[in-house]
Amino acid sequence: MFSLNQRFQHVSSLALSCSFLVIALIAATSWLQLVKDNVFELESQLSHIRSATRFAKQKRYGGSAVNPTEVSKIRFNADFDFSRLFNWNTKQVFAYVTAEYEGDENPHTMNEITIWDKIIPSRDNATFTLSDIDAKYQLWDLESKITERPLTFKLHWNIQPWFGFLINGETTGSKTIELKKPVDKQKGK
Amino acid sequence: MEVLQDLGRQLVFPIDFESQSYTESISNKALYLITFFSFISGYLTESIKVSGIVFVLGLIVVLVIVLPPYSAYNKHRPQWANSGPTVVEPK
Amino acid sequence: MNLRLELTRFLSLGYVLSSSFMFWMGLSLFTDCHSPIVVVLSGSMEPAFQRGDILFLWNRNEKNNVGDVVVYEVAGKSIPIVHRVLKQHYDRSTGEQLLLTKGDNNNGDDVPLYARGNYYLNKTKDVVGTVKGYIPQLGYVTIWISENKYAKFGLLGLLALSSLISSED
Repeated sequence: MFSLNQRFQHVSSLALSCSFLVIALIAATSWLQLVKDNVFELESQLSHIRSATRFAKQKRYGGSAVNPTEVSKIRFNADFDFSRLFNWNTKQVFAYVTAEYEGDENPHTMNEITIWDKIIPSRDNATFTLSDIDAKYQLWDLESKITERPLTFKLHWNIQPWFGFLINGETTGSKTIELKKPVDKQKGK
Repeated sequence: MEVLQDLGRQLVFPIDFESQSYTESISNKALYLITFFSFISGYLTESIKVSGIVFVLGLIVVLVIVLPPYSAYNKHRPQWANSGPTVVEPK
Repeated sequence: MNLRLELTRFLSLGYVLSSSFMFWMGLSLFTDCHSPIVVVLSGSMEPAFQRGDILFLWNRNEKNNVGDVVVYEVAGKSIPIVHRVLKQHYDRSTGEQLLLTKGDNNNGDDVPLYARGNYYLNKTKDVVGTVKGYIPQLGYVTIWISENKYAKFGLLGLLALSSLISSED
């Protein structure tokens, strides 16, 4: 502490450690807040899931002229309230609906595909009642078929904090359905 | 080189021994308090911005108190004994 | 000019460099990831990640879930990309996982960014790590230094000057 340089270094290094302590406290208390608010069992409603399936020959979907791939468009209703996910350390919440299913030809595969997502920037806009909305992303598998097997639709969330750990979770309302066979008989040609 | 060394010697801004221990203890205590208050104020107002502002303002105050070689920090300069022979007066 | 003093200084500089290198490599081993801390360079994940944000990666997970944010490197392209997993296909028998990613702020998925002819990423081969922790804006210093040539020279000059000025204390 004799020279200006030593005093500056002492204060700045301690201040750096202290600022990391503040960050750790912020991250820990905001996580405890989430546990206390029981957000890991948030409820949601997914309903009225319906699909329209076509055949695609593009390589992008893993299809070819001989063996086209089924590509499904989904429409659905959703009802959820994510305002409890917002506390003082929440920068944004990323909400997304996925379809989960097991492989058919290769039963060892587990697949999960996002069909819809939404960035929620604040607590004021965290309640959603969506009816009859189009999914943002189409559904297709590595195998050529996606229809006629059980798909589980689920709403997940991901908290992007200001400081600290990214936290993932899923809501309790999930829905398992089978998509209808495409009416288009293109495949048979 | 010589000029730089001279400049370096002038930029030391020394303070006396008592003030060295004083500035060290006051800066430690102040930073721990700032850490505490910055967290509490942010938690109560639910705002990380408030936490940050409290922390930075506190840090600036600490730097202003601790860094400059105020004359009060140099009141207790040690009186070094003279080197050289001790002279006695003959009687 | 005091040779012993100069050598001591050199030794302490070496100490600083080697200890930070050890810290980095230790973190690398712990996370199983060749660059466990990265700085965001582009805005494709806004508003989650802005330019200059610091991300902490973890790569000991066997598979990724949809919704995870991953950093991946495409063979032949030197810049790692941080995007969110949109689709995953995991084979329990082989442990292989295929991923399709997308930036939150981009309209389409990442297929145009992948190596030619690839429509998926391979988890074990392409993914550098999964983003677990986040600190905003602190990495802007490194962007500033690497992109502004004056900043680089200014910083080097300042370091040199301070080492010359700092007298024997």
